[in-house]
Amino acid sequence: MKSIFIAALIIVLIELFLFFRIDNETILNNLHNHTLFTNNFGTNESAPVKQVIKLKADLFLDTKTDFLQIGDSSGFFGVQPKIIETYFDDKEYINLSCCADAGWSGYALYLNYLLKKIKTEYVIFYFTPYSLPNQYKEGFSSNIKNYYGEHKISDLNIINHLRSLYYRNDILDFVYKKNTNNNITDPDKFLNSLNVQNFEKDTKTSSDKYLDYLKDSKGWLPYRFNDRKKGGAIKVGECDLLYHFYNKKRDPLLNKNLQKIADVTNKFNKKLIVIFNPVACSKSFDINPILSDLEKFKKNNLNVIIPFEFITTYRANDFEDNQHLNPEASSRNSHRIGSTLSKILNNKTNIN
Amino acid sequence: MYFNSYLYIIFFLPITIFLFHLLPKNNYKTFFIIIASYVFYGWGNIYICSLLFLSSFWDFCIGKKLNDLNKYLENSKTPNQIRIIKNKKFFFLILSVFLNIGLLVIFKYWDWLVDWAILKNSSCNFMNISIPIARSYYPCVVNSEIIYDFGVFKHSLDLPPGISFYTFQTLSYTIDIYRNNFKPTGKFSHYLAYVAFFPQLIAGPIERAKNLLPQIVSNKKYLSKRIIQKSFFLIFFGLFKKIVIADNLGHIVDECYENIQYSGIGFLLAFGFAFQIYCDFSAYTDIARGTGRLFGIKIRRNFLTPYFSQNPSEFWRRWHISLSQWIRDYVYISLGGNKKGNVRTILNLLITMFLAGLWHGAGMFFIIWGIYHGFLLLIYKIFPIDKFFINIFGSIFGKIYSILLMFILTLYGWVFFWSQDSISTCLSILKSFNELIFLLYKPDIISEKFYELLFGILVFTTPIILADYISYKSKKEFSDIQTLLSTTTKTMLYLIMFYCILFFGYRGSLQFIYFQF
Repeated sequence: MKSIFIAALIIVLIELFLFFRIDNETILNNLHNHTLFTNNFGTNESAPVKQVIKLKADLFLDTKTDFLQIGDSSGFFGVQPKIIETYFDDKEYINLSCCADAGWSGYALYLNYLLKKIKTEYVIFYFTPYSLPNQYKEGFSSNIKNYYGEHKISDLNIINHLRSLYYRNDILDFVYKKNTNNNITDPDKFLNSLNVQNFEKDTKTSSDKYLDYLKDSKGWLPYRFNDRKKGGAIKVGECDLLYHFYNKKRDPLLNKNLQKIADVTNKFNKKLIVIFNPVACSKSFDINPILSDLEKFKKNNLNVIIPFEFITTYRANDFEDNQHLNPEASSRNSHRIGSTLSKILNNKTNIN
Repeated sequence: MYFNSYLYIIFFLPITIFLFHLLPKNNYKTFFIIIASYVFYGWGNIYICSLLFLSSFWDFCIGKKLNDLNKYLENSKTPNQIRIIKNKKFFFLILSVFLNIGLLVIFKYWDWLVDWAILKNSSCNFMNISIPIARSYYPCVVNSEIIYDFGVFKHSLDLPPGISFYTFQTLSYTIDIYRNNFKPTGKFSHYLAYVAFFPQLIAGPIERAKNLLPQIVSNKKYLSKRIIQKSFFLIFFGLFKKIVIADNLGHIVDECYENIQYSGIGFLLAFGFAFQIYCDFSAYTDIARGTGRLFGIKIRRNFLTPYFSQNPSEFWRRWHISLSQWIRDYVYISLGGNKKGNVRTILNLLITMFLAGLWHGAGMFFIIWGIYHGFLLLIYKIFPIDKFFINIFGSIFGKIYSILLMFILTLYGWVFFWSQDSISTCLSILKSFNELIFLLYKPDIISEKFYELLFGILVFTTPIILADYISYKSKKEFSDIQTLLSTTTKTMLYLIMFYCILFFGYRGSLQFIYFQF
């Protein structure tokens, strides 16, 4: 028993000492360190993805744009801002779409963070109907919340009040991270992990300069497998898209979660535009529940612009896999978006 | 509720222990255990409690009936009377087996059997076949037309936690009464507390009524300094094993699979998973035992340094002891054990291990894992390699080689276990695993990733290997060894564990692996 009490006393003394050295604000500012948002240690499942999310955001923080795009990787690789900009005289477009792992709540939190840091008029929420933004990696949203969410010290989990956690990241770096870092700074590893496997050929840029390219392209990269078969069979024929539409209790998710995004844009008084990535499959009666859920969203949010149909069918050859367009098709898709947006915004009408 | 949640550690556990020891009478304590256990179990989903109650209710009734029949049997004199009573007893036993196994089949195996029997063996083209969320939607498509939705055959219900553990526990109760090895409890409340006792409810150990029920009935539920100290250590050590070792190894194992194309990574995956599952499961048992002790109830050990086994039968005496003994007592011996000739012994062994594999879940590779261990047991029975090694290399080196060989064979088993239902996964791991041998001859082809993952695995397995080695050498449990240490060493141990949990512990911890079984 004595050892338990002595250990407890030592812990209390250490934490008290640190409590007076590290204040609440420092803890809140350092939250990403001890929640290990970008550290590979113990969070390796999505660490590269998280690092991409952070990296893209950091590239464009404190800038001003007219269109700010977020959403899943279909938009990351499917929308070329520079092409869209050609349809406007002096409007800018930034593509901060990243990865479906973020899930619906993750997008809303991320957008909330971005709108505080980036000035924009329109928010484009872009995703593929093929896999609808999902939350298949549990805990990812909460990780994003730890990093991008708004915190008060009273909101924190009890364990996060312990001030010694301030040093967590440093200790992990010392013991572990240096040895197992996925090394996001290694261009080839970075690009390969995103399936941007023909970067130099597609962009005529040395892979060392991928960050410069990413900044210059305003967030777009060419998605390409070395061997296209790696993307797997691409679903053609009628679409069967219901699998991420329901949660485990069989409640539809689209309207409810689009509303989360709309709530954030309303909060910041921004205009929301929702765009769906093309798919190789075609409309079927199977997607009727999705369409009626989408209608509900439209009805409740008349100010939201949804310029395209839920299903736009492209040829299977335009895709590297079910969700991602190849660079050539992404260029066509960007022209389609640019031309439609310019028509809508210049006429100030909503084609819906 | 999870043992590794803040809710449990900071609120539930201290409050229930405090209230429990405040209660003056044992009857109140029994009721308190029932309430606390049902709150623990039903936290987040109250409906699963009804299943637990139902299972307890019918087995209590059957147990009572079997006990009455045992009494009649003792007083029966004519062969006809004896035969009738024996038949009745057998009927109630079968009823209990049917109800308990039926519960398991419905919740655990039904959807898998439907998949296997209908979806995978039909000429239909099924849409959405591998989609987890809309899994009840399985339209059979022929010539672009939907003929029928086979989803109606699947219930798609989540597996109630701990169902495999408590059904085996209740089943052992009725079988023991049937065999007249145990006199049942008269009070339903005692029985409810025995089945639902929350520390061991979700992931075992699978307790026998003759061990747990008398402790629940007993008035002697006191706390001493020694008990508190040991319980505290067990809970703390369990949390350390789960949050620091198992969860982090889990992530390294996943990373191994992501890099399985490199030679030798398959070995690291199996090695990491071997310790992940061991630490995960034994952590649960430790916390369960520590918690049980705080309620004045001794729960038995479930692990005994299993990776220091020299042969498969020793492994099964050290790994998931409560399940191994259950299967041995109620399946292997019931089938005739080794008393019905060589062919039957072989068959009994394979059936037993097949069932042990199947118990772990609805997956082809669980069964393969069980049968693989069955074959290991057979091979060692025919040719005791460990004894051969000891004869050839002497006692010390013979033992070391036997332990190493058994460990490697166990690792192959874990490859099957980890693969669950995917043949390609299993083959890719085995290929990478077997390529380890080339790395020994050509170290220059070892990938950077191999070293990275090896480092991670060594960081997290070394403390457990050391702790188990000390236990193995001293033939004592690690929690008993700590009582022999000086206050300073123990204090240091607590501080190290606390700050390891804080700094290395994975936040948003993974579920205990054995919850799915």
